[in-house]
Amino acid sequence: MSIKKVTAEACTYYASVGTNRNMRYRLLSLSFLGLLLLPACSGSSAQGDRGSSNPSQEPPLLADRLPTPTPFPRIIVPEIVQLSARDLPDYFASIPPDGIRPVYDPRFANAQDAPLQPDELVMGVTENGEAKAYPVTVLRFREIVNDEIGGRPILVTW
Amino acid sequence: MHDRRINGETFVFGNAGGLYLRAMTWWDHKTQSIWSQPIGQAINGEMEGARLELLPFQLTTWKNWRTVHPQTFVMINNQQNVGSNRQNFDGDFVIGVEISGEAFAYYYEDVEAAGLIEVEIGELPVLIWAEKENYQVYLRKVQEQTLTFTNQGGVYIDDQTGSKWDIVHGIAVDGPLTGETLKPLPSLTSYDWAWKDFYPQSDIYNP
Repeated sequence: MSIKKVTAEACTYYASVGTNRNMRYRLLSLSFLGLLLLPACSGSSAQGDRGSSNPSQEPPLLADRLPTPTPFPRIIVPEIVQLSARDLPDYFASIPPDGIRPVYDPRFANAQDAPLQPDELVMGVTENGEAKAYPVTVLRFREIVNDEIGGRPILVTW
Repeated sequence: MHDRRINGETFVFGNAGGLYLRAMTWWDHKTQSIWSQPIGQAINGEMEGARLELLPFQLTTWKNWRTVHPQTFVMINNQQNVGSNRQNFDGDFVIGVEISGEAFAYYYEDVEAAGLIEVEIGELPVLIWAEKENYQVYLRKVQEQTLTFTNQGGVYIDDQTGSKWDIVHGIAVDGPLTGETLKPLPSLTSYDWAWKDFYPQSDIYNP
């Protein structure tokens, strides 16, 4: 695999995290590699603008230009999970740990960009003037969200 | 909704993949102990017995939430996966409140029909209000004074001072208590069968 190909793939990843509302934080957290790739990605992006259009590229969310929620540290999941509750009364192990994938990387949009229907349910929480809503449909799908609000680390579960 | 700190240390939680009393369990990344969701407590492993602080939250429609909190952020993970399969209020939902070991639960529909429920839980005066897929649980005590409320044609007025209250926001908007707020209390929204599993001694309110 050529360096150019690797760089291109990294740029694709970079572009995808670029739409993330935590972009500023991620920019900081991407260390040595990120710094090396940044000029390459900028170049590639500029080339893309001059060349043919890229239909797969999503337009930036309006939210990217508005205030961002509290930056959230990246979570690294342990590779080996050894849970020892099998002998516990009333406990039934059914699927592997994280078989239903929790949210370790919550991403956010502002109210005007949220693709929600008016009558669907959300779990809402406020702290220090900050407000966050978690659509119940997504909570049913992911069950657990590790997040922070107004400086308080919270666990949202359904 | 919990604070995920124990003694000042922030914990990260995953899905343990098992059921304890038919309800979800978590594992924490640091000690890989098992936690039970409805009680927010470790039931096994190094952290056994530790309990997360339950936080107040609201379960309501997006429209209601957005109106009260226009500056809100919305989590957008997996929006593409959920499609048109949206969740609405369910007839089996109960609003559960536990204070100092005393637990009460109320069917959402019953609270909505009653409009307002005033009760003492764990020796604290509590107000539970529900209307149009929106509910609140408050401590109905202001300036050391316990309040009772009357609904006068859609306007909530406390019997002690005659102040008018915006019950959605829990703030007095007119009268002697203008600007005072009611403290939101943590509650648990649950299916009635799950509540009965964890709080078998607690009756579900039936007006």
